[in-house]
Amino acid sequence: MNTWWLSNQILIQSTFISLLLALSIQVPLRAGVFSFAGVGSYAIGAYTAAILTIRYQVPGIVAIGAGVLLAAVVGYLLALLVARLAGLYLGMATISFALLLGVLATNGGDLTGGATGLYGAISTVTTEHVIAVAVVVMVLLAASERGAFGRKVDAVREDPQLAVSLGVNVIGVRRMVFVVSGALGACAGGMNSLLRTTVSPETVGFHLVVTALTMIIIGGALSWAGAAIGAVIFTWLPSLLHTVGEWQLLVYGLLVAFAAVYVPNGLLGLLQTGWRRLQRRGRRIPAEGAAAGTSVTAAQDPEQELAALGGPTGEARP
Amino acid sequence: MTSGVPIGRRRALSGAGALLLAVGLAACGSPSSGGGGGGGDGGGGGEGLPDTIKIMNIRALTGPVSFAGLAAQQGIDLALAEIEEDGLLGDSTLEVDSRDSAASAQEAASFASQAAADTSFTAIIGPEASAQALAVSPIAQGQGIPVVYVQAGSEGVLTGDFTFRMTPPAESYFEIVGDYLEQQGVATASVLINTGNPTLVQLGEDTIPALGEAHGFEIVSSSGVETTAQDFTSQASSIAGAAPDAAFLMVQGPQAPVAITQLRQAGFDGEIIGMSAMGAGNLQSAGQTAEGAVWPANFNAGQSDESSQTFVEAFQAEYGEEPTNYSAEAYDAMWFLARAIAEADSADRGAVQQAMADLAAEGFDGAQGSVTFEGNDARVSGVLVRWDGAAEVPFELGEN
Amino acid sequence: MAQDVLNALTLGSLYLLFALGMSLAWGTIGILNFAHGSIFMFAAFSAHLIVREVSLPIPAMILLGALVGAALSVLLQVLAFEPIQRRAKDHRKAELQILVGGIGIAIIPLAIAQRITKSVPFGYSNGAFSVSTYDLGFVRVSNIQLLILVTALGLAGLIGWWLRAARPGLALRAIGVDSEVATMMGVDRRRLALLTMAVAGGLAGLAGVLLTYYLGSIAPETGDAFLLKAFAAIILGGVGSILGVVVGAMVLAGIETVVLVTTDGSWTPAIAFGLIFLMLLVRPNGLFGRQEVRRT
Repeated sequence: MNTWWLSNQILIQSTFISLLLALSIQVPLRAGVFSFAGVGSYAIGAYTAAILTIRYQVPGIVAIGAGVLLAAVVGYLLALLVARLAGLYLGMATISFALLLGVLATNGGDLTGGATGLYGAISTVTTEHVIAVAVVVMVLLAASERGAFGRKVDAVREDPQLAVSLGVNVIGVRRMVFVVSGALGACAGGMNSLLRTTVSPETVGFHLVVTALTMIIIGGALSWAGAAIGAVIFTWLPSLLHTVGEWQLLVYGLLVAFAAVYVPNGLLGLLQTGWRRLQRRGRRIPAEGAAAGTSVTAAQDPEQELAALGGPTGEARP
Repeated sequence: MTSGVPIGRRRALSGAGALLLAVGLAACGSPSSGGGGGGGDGGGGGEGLPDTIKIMNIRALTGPVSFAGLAAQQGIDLALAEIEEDGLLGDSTLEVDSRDSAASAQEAASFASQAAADTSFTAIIGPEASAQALAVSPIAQGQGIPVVYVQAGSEGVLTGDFTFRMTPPAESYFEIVGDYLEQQGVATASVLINTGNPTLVQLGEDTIPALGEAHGFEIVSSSGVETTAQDFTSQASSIAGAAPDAAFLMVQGPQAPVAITQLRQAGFDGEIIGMSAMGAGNLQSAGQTAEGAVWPANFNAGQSDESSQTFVEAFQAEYGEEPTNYSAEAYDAMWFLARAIAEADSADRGAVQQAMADLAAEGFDGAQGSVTFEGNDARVSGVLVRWDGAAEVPFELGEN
Repeated sequence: MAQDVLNALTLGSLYLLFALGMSLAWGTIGILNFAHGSIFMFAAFSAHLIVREVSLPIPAMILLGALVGAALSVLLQVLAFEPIQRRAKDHRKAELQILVGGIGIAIIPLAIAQRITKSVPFGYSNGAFSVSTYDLGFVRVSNIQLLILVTALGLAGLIGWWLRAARPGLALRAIGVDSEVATMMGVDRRRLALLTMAVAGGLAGLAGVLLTYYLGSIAPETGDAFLLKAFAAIILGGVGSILGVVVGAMVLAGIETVVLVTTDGSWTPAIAFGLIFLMLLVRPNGLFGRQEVRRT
C-alpha cells in the first residue's frame, strides 16, 4: 500500500485536481449554465498561487486562497457580463475567456514568466491536503444536490420561467454558480501549481477544456459523482492504455467518441439504470429508498435527465 | 527492430542479440573505446553492481513531439545494445523501462515519482518537452534520483545536483553562425520569433541581438508569430520589404518549411538562418525552395568528429537511416549513465550521481562529438548545417 | 500597403475556406462539428499519401481531397451525429453531445496521421504543380494565392446562391429556421443532413489540399489551429449567414494583419478569442445573423 501510494502520488493528486476542475464545469451545468469559465479560473488560480509563492513566500494555503478569492470575484463579474447568453454561445464565450487568459500569461512579462512560465513554487502542500479539500467540496456539493436547495437548482435548469414564478431567484442562482465554478477552478489550478512547483501557458490551454468536458460527459453530468467517476477514469486511463502502445491516442479517441454517442447519460446514468432495475427485480414495489440517494433523485425522470444539459428550455420542448 | 514501441516494460536486450550479430563490428567499435570517460576500463568487474540495474526512460513516443521521442528511443536502444556488447557493466544488465509520456507534463511527473518511489530504479532519462522537465526536476531533486534530460531546453530545468542535461542549449553554440554571417558580409538582419516557445524567444530576443553586436550586423526588424501559426505571409512580406541581408527564423520545426517557402515567395533573397529545430528532416517538404538555409546544430550525421562517425555508422547499420540530433543526444545520455554506473560500481543513486558529476567534469567524446559540461549542462562546439535542397549537409567556414 | 491588403485577403480566404463548411453545417442542421479540423487535415494527408505514389495535377488533387473530406464527413454523420440526434430528444443535450463527440472523434484521424508522419510536416513536393510568383511592381502575388482567393470567394458565392435559390438549399434553410415545421412540409431531413455534411466535408477537404499547396506543407496539428479562427469568423459574421462568414473571415484576417504589421505579434492569438468574446457580449447574432437567437 505504502509503495503504491508513493509511486502513484502524482496520479492520485491529479485525480483529485482534475475532479475539482471537472466540478467547476459540472456545477454550472447542473444549473443549466453551459460555462467553461472554470478553466479560465484554473489559470487564474494556478498563476496567482505560483506568483505569490515565488515572490512573497506566502504559505501555500494563503497563496491558493488568494487565487480562489480572485477567481470568485472574476467569476461574479463574468456572470454579469455574459448574463444574456445561453447554450453553445455561452460555451463559446467562456472558452474564449479561458484562452484569452492563456495569451495574457504568455505576454505577462516577468510577472508570469512569459512563454517559459514560472518554476520553483515550493510549498508545503501535500497530497493529503488535496484529498481533504476535494472531500470537503464533494460533501458540500452532495448536500447541495439534496433537499430544497437541490430542487431549486433543478428548477432553474429545467424551467427558469417557472422557477421565477415560484419565487426562486434565478439570476442569483446563476451568478452563484459562476462564483462557485470560479472558486473550484482556481482551487484546482492553485494546488496543481504548488504540487508541480511550476506553471506555464501550455499547461493552462485548450486541452483542459477537453479533459474536463470529457470527464463530465463520460462520468455523468448531473451529479458530482459523475464528475468523480470521470476524473478517476481519465486520470488512470493513460496508464492502462500503455498496453496498446503506439495507438494509445487512437484508443482514447475511440473511447471518448463511443461514450459520447452511445452512453449519453454517462457511466453514472448506466449505473443508476442498472441499480433501479436490480431493485425493481428485488422487490416489486417502487423503492422509496432509492429516491433518498443524492444522485438518484435527478435521474428519476428521464425527461428531466435529457433536458439536464440544456439549460433554460423554453423553446426546446413544446 | 521495434523502433521505440512503448510497450510498458522492456527488457534491455530482448531481441538485441540477433541484431548485434547483424550489426557486427560496427557496434563493437563504438564509443566506449573512443570514449574519453574512462568508464570502459573500470567497468569490467562490477562486483558492487546488482544483476539488473533499472532505469526509467520517459519518452514522448506519441503525440505532437513524437518525432523527437521516437528518434531518441532509437538512440537509447542502440546505446543499450552496445553497452551490453561492450561488457561495460560486467555481468549486470541494464534494464530500461520505457514509458510513453505522450508529451504530457502530468504523465511525465507521474512516471518520475513512480521511479523515485521504487528503490530498484537507479536513474531516469528525462522527457523532451520543457514543461514536462520542469515538472520532473523537483521530484528528482527532492527524492534524490539522478535524471539526465534529452532536449528540455528551458531555463529552470536544471535545479540541482541530480539534474543533468545532454542537449546543449542552442544559445551556447549559436555563436558559430556569427562568423559565417560575417564571412557572407551580412550587415542587416530581421528576426522572426515564435512567441510561445521559451527557447526560441530567448534566442530571438537575447542571443541574436548580442550576436549582431559581436559580428557587426544590425537587427532592422523583429516580429513574432503564434505558437501554432500556419501562415507567415504578412511577416514574410514585411521582412522582404525591409530587405535585410539575412533573416533569422526562430520558429518550430514544422513551421520552418512554411516560413522559408513564404519568405522566398515574398521575394526575399538574403541568407536564411534557423536553429536546430530546422533539422531532423523538417525541410524535406520545402525541397529546393529552402536551398541555402543555414543553421547551427549540436549534431549532424555528416559531422567529422571520429566518435560521431562511429555512432552514425552503427546507427545506419541498425536502422538503415541517418540519425537525427535527438538520437545522438539520447545515445549520449544512455552511455553517460552507463559509464557513471560502471564508474560508481554501484546502483546506489547517490553514488551514481557523484560519478555522473565526475564524468561531467571530465567530459567525453560521444555521438555529438566532444562533449563538455558547464555545471550539469552539456556543451558542444556545434556544427553549421546547410540545406542543399534535398539533404542536410554540414560545412566548415571557408568552404564556400 | 497593397501587399498587406493582399496578404490579409489571402489569409481571410484561408479562414473562409475552412469556416464555410463549418458554418454551413452549424447554421442549417445545427451541427457544430469539432472534428472539422481533423477532416480537413486528413483529407490533405490522404492526398499526400497518394501524390507520393503518383504525380497528380492540382485539379485531381483538389477533387481527391474533397472526396475524402466528404466521405469522412458522411461517415461521421452516420456513425455519430445521427445516433446522437436520434437518441437525445432534447436539442440542447444533443448539441452538447455532438460537441463532445466531435472532440473525441477528432482525435482519431489526428492520432493516425501523427503516427504515420511522426508529426513531421508533409507536403506535395512530388505533385505536378509548382508555385510561381509574379511581381507586379506594387505587389507580389503567386498563382496559388490567386487560386485560393478565387476559390474561396467563388465557393462562398456558390453556396450562398444555392441556399437562396436551389430547392435543396431552400429546404435546408427551412430546417435551420424550424426543423419540425420543415419536416411537416415534406422535407426529408435525414437526406438533407447527409447532403449538408457531405458538402461541408468536401469543403474541408478542398480547403486542406489548397492550404497545403499554399503553405508548402502542413503538420497533423494544423487543423486544430484553424478551428478556433473559424469559430471567431463564424461568430463574428453570425451563425447561418454565408455573407457573415465571408465578412467575419476577412475582418479577422484584416485585424490580425494590422496587429502583425504594427506590433511584434505576440498578441495576435488574443484577437480571435477577444473578437468571439466581445461579439457575443455586444451582438450575439453576429453582424449578419438571424435575429432569432436562443437566449434566456
